[in-house]
Amino acid sequence: MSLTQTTTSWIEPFDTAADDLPGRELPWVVEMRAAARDRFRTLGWPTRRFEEWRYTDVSPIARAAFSPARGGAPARGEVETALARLPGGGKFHRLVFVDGVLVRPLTILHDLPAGVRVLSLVEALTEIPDVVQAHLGQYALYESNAVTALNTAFWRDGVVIHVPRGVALERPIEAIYLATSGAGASAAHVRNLVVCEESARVDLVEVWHAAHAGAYFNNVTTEVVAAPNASVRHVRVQEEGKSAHHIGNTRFHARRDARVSSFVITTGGATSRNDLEFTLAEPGASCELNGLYVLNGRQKADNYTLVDHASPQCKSSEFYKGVLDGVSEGSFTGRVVVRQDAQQTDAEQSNRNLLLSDDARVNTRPQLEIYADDVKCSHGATSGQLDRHALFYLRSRGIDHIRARQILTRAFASEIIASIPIGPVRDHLLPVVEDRLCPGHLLEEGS
Amino acid sequence: MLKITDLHARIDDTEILKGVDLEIGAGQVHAIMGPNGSGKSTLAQVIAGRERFEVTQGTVTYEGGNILELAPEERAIKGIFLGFQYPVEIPGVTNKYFLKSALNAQRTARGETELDAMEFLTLLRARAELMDMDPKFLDRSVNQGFSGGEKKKNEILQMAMLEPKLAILDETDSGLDIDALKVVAGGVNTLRSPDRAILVVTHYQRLLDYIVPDCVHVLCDGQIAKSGDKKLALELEEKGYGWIEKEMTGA
Ligand SMILES: Nc1ncnc2c1ncn2[C@@H]1O[C@H](COP(=O)(O)OP(=O)(O)OP(=O)(O)O)[C@@H](O)[C@H]1O
Ligand SMILES: [Mg+2]
Repeated sequence: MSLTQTTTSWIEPFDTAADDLPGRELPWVVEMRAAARDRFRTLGWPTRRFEEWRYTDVSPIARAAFSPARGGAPARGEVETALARLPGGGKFHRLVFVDGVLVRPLTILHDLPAGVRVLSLVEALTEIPDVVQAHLGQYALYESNAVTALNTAFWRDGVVIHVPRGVALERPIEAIYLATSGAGASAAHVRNLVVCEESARVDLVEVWHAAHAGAYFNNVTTEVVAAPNASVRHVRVQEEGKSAHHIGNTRFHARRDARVSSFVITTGGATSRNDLEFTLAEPGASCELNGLYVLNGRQKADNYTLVDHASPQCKSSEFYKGVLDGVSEGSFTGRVVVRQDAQQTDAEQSNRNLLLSDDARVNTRPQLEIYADDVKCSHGATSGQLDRHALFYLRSRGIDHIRARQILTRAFASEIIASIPIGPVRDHLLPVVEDRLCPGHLLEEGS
Repeated sequence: MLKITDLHARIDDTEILKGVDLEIGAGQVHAIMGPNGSGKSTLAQVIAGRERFEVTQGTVTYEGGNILELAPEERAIKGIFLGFQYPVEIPGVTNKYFLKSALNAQRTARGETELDAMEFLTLLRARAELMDMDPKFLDRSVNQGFSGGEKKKNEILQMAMLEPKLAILDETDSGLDIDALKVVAGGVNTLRSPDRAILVVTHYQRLLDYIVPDCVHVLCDGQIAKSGDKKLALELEEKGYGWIEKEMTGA
């Protein structure tokens, strides 16, 4: 399939399905969609020749023929079964999107403080159009990113959160995205927006989960704005199906003294890309980026992160870990740009990888671009195997080989999981991570 | 209980054990002494099943069966315990979790029921107290940041929890202060019984004042060069190993 074909096949079916896209009556939405659509046509799918895309091969997505996901009627029980496995357990505020579209009856909103809005993007367009218009598309720019362009042209739904000045939301908000067998081989362009006003506080947990094992594609763009002195914690739990593809573009914009934290846990998907950008736009802003990818089989996951220290006295700390089994491939790029006037920047970064098989691969690259002179920057990257001494130590106490490997791997991964400030999410993740270890592979090696 | 015959083991191309013969009966305590690098830890680890040492010749039978083909965990389940000369630090795994996994793995493999959380904690607290160990060590990562002596005590705590039939203690006394030495010796002596055996590797006759051995062996250059009763340890303390090495090369 030629490049032009891969581009058209991602425009035409979506054009055909565009008659019920939200925002058709809002000129700014229509214009933005049209411009982004043209931009995607011009850019086409990125190739690995681009520096940023060196470790993400999008060709399995580009060449696939996915129909537009439009929500719909999932098979009986599929949603319930999936929900029962997820972390919130009724304690969080919850929005559930099935095959890209909100399912209203599944929404749980406990007593929300006055002025707080938690709703779908479709609802937000009519209920808080000004907030949406002021922010949507302001941080996730589509001019230079074809995947964002595609998302901007064809988004159908997503979550919008608006927390007014001074309000602290105690319960986390959980946005669950389920892919069900009813939608089959489909592509969803999901668009989220979090606007946290001055001195406000909010936690958002995105959970990506599959109720079937077939191929599909989720293309997500999430924009997060933290106004002065606001605090936003954003967790992404990505446990898509084995044959699924997932590209998540998350853009954080932090203003004076704002604090943003991001936790990205990837266990699912055949092809995954977590593309995160943090703009520390005003003095005193800080960000924390933690990530964990646990891969096996033929999975590929690329974590591409950029922290833009655009202002003085900002702080960033980044800690990503990978556990790679089978013939999987995990990648990490930690780009940090310290602009010329961003004096007294404090930036630290670390990436550590555990290779559980000889055939697993890891690519890790720190990219520091420092144009200021008064900065404190550190970075480090390692990759290695399980500690043989530790393995023998555990086995000498009667713990079998497989279990010993699980315990050590879990210990390695748990450092990132432990950093997630939301208990039920931690409790959910530990067993998920353990399950990802290939028992078959271990048996072969153990014998 | 344990019978080692003409045991040869090597690592890569270096032969370290060059024909070890040793027999320990149930109820006995044996001590192995010997110069640095003579192969004491290698012997201990080969008995416990460390795979990086390749056994090229000889047999190790335990309770009448050959154990050389068994995985380390299978040996542990049969009741063999190794107290490490250099206990390993395991960040991210608490002592409690580690011990519970080990104990329940052994119980399950033997067809016994697992201990539930309460039963386990009660037992663990009692044993830790016996070891004069602050309970806060139980919630810390295994050996991580423990002092040398604390690590050794932690080995004995594990032994006390697992109640092995054959305990091999590799320099468990090194790095212990006098009080800790007494506690550790007490722990070992508690384990002594007619159906158990203990093999201690040590450089110091001092330990043997507390754990009185039935037999003392001297390992030199991968072979048992001399065996005797507890008086041999005193003699070594006084004269060093030179005379034994001479006897060996002379013979
Ligand atoms: N991994 C290894 N590679 C090469 N040589 C090794 C290895 N492990 C042990 N050796 C060698 O084997 C010999 C015996 O070592 P071992 O640890 O068994 O001695 P030891 O009697 O316990 O000494 P110590 O009293 O110092 O503890 C030493 O010469 C040591 O250097
Ligand atoms: Mg030694």
